[in-house]
Amino acid sequence: MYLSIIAALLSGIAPAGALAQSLFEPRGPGVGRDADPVRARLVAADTALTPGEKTLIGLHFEIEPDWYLYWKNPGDAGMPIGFAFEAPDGVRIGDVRWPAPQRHALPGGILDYVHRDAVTLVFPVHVGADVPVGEPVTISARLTWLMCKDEICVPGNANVRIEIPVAAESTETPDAARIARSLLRVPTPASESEFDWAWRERTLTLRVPGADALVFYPGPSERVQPRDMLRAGAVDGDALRISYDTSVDEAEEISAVVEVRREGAPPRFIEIVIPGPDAG
Amino acid sequence: MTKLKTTLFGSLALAAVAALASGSATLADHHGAPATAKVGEAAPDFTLTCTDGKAHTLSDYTKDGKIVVLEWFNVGCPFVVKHHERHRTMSTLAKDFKDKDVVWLAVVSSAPGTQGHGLELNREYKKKWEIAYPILIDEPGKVGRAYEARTTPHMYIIDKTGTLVYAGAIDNNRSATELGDVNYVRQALKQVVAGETVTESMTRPYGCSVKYAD
Repeated sequence: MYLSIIAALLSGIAPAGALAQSLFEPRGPGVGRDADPVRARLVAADTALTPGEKTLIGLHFEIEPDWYLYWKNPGDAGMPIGFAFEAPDGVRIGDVRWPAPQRHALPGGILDYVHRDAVTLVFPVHVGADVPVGEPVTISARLTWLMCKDEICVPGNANVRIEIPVAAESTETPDAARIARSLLRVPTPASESEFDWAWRERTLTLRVPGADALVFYPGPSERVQPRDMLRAGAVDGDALRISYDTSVDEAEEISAVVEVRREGAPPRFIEIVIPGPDAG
Repeated sequence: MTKLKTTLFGSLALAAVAALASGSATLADHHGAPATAKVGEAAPDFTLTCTDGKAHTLSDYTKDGKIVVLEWFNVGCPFVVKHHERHRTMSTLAKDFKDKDVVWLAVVSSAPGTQGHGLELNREYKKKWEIAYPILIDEPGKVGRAYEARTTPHMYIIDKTGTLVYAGAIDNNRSATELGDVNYVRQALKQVVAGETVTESMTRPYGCSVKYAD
């Protein structure tokens, strides 16, 4: 086990299955056949960090077919990908830009929000003006996740790291395109003109003029979650009707990501924050 | 948002709610759907067989003046491992309330071919984890679906009158390793045993999805 951790540290690539199995001894059908269903690594958008400037890095996961990882709100079951960064003085890792997930319905009326095939969580990196040129910087992250396919869930964890030179100039890496692609699914704050909303008791009606279809991904609140999202969370047309139970009475605000689909255009992902029904 | 927008939109919302209301009327007219569990209402009755081959009927326990705890269970799920192997959350609680007319039952709704399924496997882990209470087998997932159990663990408390008084998480730490500082089930059980109303009767469960058959 220690050997594999060290190997992971050295290579920056984690043998997820091996670590998970030694830590938790997952059991049941399927485990032995899928040794490493998830592999994680850190990628950088630029070949070098430039003092006084900002760049992007990505936490990139490759996921075997049938397996999935969980969004920041995992839905009815599951656990979000967890990460804790370490970086030297002068290098600050900013807030995660988490791409929107996919809905995944399971038997028993369970609805999860998952990532399949591959996902890249993107983070801004702020480089201090006094970070010395010439000395490479190491950024590392401790990762935890729950990886599932429909029949089984297995915990995973890994340590990943990347060494990046510090230079006055830099160019894009081959991973820059991957990061850019991921950003297309990262929600941007919705402008006021983009949507309308109204509460009627505990039901929120949300309208995005011009939309052909809408998908609602509720924010990760532990207390306030909408009901019946299997039916109400993905609709044709330009209006969503999202119902809550009494827990919403206490809510200051409701946050969500909304996927806006229009015929002939790529989907847009907007982040909305709306006052609760009784707020203000 | 401006007030004007909200008002203008209000009429649309009204129409929408009217549409919803007619939709739910249709649902209410639909017969034959199994009763589902709701906090504050009668808990769906069931009979299931445990790993020892003994039958357990919910209403037999409640008629006998027992409070019943249901724990959705899957020996392979990391969150179940957390509360049985890393920590002894479930067995400790069951023991603490054993003398207070509380019956604890684990329920396995894993379908054949999925994680946590199998009589032998569950017998093995009952022994390994020194679980003193019965593990009930719900292979078709009928009881799980009636309770809308979504996660392992997903916890329920049924009082002596057969009313569901708690549904949700075991505690307030959703990690696969660390315990929370509030154990919702302990908190609720204390209140039920004392004849008080459960203050936090619904929480958001966490864990692996229950591995139901299609």
